[in-house]
Amino acid sequence: MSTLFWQAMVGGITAGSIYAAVAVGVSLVYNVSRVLNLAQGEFLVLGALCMITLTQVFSLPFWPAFILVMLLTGGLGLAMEQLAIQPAHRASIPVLLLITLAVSITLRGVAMIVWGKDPLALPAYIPNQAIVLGQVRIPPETVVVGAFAVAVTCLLWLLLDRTPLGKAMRAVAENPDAATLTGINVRAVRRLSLALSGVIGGAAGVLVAPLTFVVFDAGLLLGLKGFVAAMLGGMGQAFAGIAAGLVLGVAESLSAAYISSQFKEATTFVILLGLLLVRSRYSQ
Amino acid sequence: MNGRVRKWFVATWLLAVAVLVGCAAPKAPGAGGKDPIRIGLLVEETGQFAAYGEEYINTAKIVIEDINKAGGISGRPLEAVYYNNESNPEKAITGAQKLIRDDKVVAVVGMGLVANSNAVAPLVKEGPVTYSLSGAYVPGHKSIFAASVSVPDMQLFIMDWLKKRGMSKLALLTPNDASGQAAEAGLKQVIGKAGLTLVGAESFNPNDVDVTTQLTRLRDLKPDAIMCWVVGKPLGVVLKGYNQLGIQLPFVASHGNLSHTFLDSLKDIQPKTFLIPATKDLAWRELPENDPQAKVNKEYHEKYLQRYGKEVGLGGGTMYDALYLLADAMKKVGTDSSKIIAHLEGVRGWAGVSGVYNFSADDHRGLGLKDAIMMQVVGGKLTLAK
Repeated sequence: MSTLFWQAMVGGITAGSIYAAVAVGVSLVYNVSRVLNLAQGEFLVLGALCMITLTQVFSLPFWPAFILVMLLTGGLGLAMEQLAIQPAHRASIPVLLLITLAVSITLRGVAMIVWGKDPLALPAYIPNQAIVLGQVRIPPETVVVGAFAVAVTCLLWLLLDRTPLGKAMRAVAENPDAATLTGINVRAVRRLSLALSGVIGGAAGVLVAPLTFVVFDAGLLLGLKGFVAAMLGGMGQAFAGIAAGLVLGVAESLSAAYISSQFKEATTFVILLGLLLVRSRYSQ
Repeated sequence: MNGRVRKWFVATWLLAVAVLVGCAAPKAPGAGGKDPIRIGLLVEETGQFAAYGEEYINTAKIVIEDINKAGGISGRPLEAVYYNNESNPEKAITGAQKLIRDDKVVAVVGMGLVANSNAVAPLVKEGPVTYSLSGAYVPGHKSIFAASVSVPDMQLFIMDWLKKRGMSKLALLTPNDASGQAAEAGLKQVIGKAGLTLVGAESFNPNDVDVTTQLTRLRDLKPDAIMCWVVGKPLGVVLKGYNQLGIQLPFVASHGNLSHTFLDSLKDIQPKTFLIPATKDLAWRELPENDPQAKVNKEYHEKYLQRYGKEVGLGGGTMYDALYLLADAMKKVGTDSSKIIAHLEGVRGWAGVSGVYNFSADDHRGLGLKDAIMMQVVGGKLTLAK
C-alpha cells in the first residue's frame, strides 16, 4: 500500500479517536437518562481551555491541573443536570435535546467571553516528536487519545456490567419508575452519569488540545461528529461507539485522500443518512 | 391605577422622553473654539477580525492626538466618531448609516474585513470619502479608496519571489469556505503570468482536527513550495501536521496572519522555512536609513511600542496612512468630498508607513508590487527573508 493510504489511515485514526472520545460521553448519558447531550463537545473545549489557564496562568504542573480540570468539568456536568435537565426530566426527548443544545450555546458564549476568540495553544505534554514507521508519521497524541478512549470504554463497561451501581444505572435507563420502586435513587444515578460524562469530556479535551489548538466554538463540530459516531455505534454498545468513531474518522480521511478533500465533510453525513435509512427500514 | 398614580406615571414618562430628546439633540458648537472636523471610524473592535480592530483603534488615537497637538486642520481640531462593526457586515451598514446621517462625518475609515467594505460601499457612493483598510477589497466607486497591497498583487509578488529563487512548482492548500475559494481562483489567474505551475490544490474545513492527508497528497506531488491561504487557528492545525509529517519544503502563509502574538504561539511547530508576504512596515527595524519609509515607520512603531507595550502588525499602518492622507488633503482643499477625492487622486510619491503611494483616477489603492516584501518567521519572530 502507498504512503498516502497509510498516512490517511493515521490521520483518520487521529480524528476518529477524538470522535470516539466524544461518543463515549454521549452514549453514557443517553444510556442512563435517555438524554442526547449535544453539549458533550463543549465539555472537551472547556476542559482544554481550563487546562490552558491552569498551566499557563497559574503555572500548575500537568497532573494536578489535569485532575482539577476533570473535577471542574465533572462539576459542570452535575450543574447541567441540576439546573437544566432535572427541572424538565418529564419532558419528551426532543425537548431535552433542545435543552442540551441551549446549554451548549450558553457554554460557548461563556467560553467566548472568558477566553476570547483567539485560538489558544496548549503545549504538547509529551515530546512533540512524531513516531516514524517507514514513510508514515504518527503524532504521539493519537496513541494517547486512542488509548484513552479504549481505557474509558473498558472502565465504563466494567462499571455498567459488573457492579451493583452499574446495574442500577441500567435499571434507570430501562424503566425509571420501576427502578424507583426497587429503591434506586434515580436522580442520583442520573446526576452521576452527567458528572461522569463531564469528567470524560474534560479529560479528553486536555488530551486532544495539543493536536488542534483550541478556540471557543470548536465544540460544535466535535459534538456533532461524536454524536454521529455514537449513533453509528448504536448508542448502547460500549465498544461499538469507539469502532464507529474510528470508522468515521478513517472514512473521512480516505475520502479526502482518494475522492476529493472537498467531499470530506459530506462523508460523515452521507454515512449517517444511509444508516438512518437502513435502520428505519429494519425497525419497521 | 388610580388618578394620582396615573398622573405621576405620565409625568415620569414625559420627563424620560424629554431627557432622551435632549440627549439626542445636536450639540451646539463649543463657544470660542472652532468646529471640529469629524472623521468616522468603523472598525472591527470585536469578532473574528478583532486583532486588527485593536491596532486600528490604538493607531487612530495616536494619529488624532498628534494632529491636534500640531494645531489640527487649518485650526480646526480633528474629532473621531467611532463605531464597532463587530466584524459583521450588517453592523457595518448600521454604523455607516449613523456616521453619514447623524454624525455627518467628512470621511469614513475602517472596514478591514472585505465583507464589511463590500457592505458599506453602496452607501457611500455619493460620499463621504471612504477609506477601506482591506487589501482584498477592490474599490468600486470614485469615493472609495483602499489600503495595503491588493491580494492579487501580493500573490503575484510571492510567485515572483519564489521564481527568482529557482522554485517553479507550487502546491496550494485552502479552507473550503468563501475566502479559500476566492484565494484559489485568484491564484489560478496570476500563477501562469508569473511563470509558475500549480501542481496541486487541496482544501480542508477550517474546523478540521487533522489535515495530514491533504498535506501528504500535496507533498507527494513534489512541489518546490507549499502555500496555505488561511488565517488564524486553522493555520495552526496545518502547521502541526506539516511538522508531524516532517515536510522540509518552504511554507508560505497569507499576510492575514501577520499578528505578532499569533506567530509567537506557533513557534514550537513552525516549518523550517516559514514565509509570509508583507508590506515594508513589518520590517521597520531592518529598513535602510535612506529608505523613504524608514523615518515615518521608526516614529510610528516606537510610539506604538511605548504606548501599548507591543509590536503592531499589518493593520495599524493602514490606519495610520489613511488618516494622514485624509488630513493632508483636508489641510489643502478643505472638507468637500469631491475636492478631497480629486486631491488624493493627484498624490504621487507620498511615503507612508505601508508604502509609497501613487494614486490616480484609476488607481485608488496607490500601492503595488514594489511595496511588498517577503518576511520569514524564525523562532516566532519576523525578519526580512533572504
